[in-house]
Amino acid sequence: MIVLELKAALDFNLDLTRVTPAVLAGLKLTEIKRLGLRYGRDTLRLADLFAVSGTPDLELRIEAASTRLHNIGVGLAQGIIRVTGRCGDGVGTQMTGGEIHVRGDAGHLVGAGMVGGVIDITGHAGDFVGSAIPGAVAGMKGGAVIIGKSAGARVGDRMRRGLIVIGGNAGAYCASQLIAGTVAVLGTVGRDSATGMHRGSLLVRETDALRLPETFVDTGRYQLAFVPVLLAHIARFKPAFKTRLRAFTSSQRWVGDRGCGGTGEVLLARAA
Amino acid sequence: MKINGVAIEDTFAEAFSMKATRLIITALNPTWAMHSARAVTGFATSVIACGCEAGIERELQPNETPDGRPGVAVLLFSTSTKELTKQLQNRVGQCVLTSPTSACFAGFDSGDPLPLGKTLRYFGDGYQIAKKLGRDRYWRVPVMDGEFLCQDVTYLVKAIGGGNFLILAETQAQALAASERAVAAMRKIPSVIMPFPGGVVRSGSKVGSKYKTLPASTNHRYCPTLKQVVDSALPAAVGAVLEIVIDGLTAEAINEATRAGIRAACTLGRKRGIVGITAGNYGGNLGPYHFKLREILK
Repeated sequence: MIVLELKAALDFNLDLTRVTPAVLAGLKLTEIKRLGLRYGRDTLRLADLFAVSGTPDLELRIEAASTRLHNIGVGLAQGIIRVTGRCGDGVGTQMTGGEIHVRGDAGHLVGAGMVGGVIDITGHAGDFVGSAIPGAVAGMKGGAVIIGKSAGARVGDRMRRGLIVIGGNAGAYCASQLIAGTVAVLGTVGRDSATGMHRGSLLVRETDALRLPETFVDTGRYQLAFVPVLLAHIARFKPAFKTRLRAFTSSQRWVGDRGCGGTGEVLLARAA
Repeated sequence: MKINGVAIEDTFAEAFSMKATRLIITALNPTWAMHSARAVTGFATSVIACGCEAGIERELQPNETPDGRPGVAVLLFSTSTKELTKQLQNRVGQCVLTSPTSACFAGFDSGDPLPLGKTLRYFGDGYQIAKKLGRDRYWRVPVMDGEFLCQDVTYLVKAIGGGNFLILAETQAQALAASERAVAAMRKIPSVIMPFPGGVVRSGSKVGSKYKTLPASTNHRYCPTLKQVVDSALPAAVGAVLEIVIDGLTAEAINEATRAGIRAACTLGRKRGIVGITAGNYGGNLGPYHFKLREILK
């Protein structure tokens, strides 16, 4: 495992797209230390910014991360990245496999456009979790993103496949334009959530403040056989969610967005 | 070799390679899971005319099933992948999909995939919903009591069919009593089924017939009413023979089931009319698996 520990607070943003376990695993420690990174107007060596230690393999640990560290695990195909601290935007964007574990918060675009793998963030995440990367037609197409606390706006925007679980609340436009896939929010969602849903599922806690678009229809309360299978799947990633997930066993099922001919579903769990 | 006075013949059961899959059928309660399981494994005693051999492996507690409801594990065996695929589609489509509150899951995690919900989903007429969780895909098909949940594929594994032993008794009632004890003991063994009614078959067959159209016919050497007519394999004291056929996922499972079944059958003993235990084979040249009774019972 290679360990990178920031030596000092960063003055500029740092793009870590090139620093993946697969790249590092093919290099010697001295070569890793000499890896060039753009930093402001300069190119610095990795060892100028980080204390680098360990043995190269398919595991990378980043200690004392900073919100200026962006694009951690972009395009990750294999291996594990563990991050401690808050990190910047683009964690796991377009990743196809492997795992990213962040003990802390993450910025915008977590898992945007990802195809496979698992992202587990213990803290909060910014906007566009699992959404489309700028310019893309569809959002994430596979894999799982687990956010321990709350997330910003447009969680799962235009998502096509995969699973997003938000342990806390999600912001406005959650699951908007959802093409397919599953978004589970154990807390509440912000305004205009589920707008423009085509297919897919949004699980969310039912509160007095929740307002689904008028173009959703109530199909009744059900105990669907699928829900326990989904909940067991989520609990495998995050056993701590198990108790709160049980509320979804009996759900009010709304279907929409009929305004665009959509047959997506919103499963509302009764508030505890 | 004798157990409780019952002679164990020095012979072997000859068994064949088969293809098998396990399904897990769940429902709102154990009664309806069992209704569905009985239907899907119905008319599946022999590949000779049923297309497959199937049976209930065991009941499952809610904590053993994917959806946390009571369930039943069933095993289906056939001679070819193509036939097993066809049987799955027809049987699950007509017997599980139709059964109130049911859901159907693959009972293995690996093997060659066989379509399950992949074909049954079309019953949803476009209203079906696909859900992919990890590597598994599920289909949610809207039906009149809610949704039928079905895993996209189940998995085929190599298996063994045709393990067997025969119980030779003085009377029909004694043979049946011993068979019932044997089957009750064998049903506790995982990975095996006894596909015939009640786990017991009275019409043991031989390959071929004097009638050209028949692939199999009565095993006349074991028919007590023909004892003085043909080259009978039965001692004079025998008035009834019943056979227990065993299909299993592994040779070890069939060994274990055979051992448990014979020992249970022999508890009645010679004094209560059980004369001997033997097994059916074709001389050892047809089937690659030989289950030697005396070795199994050592």
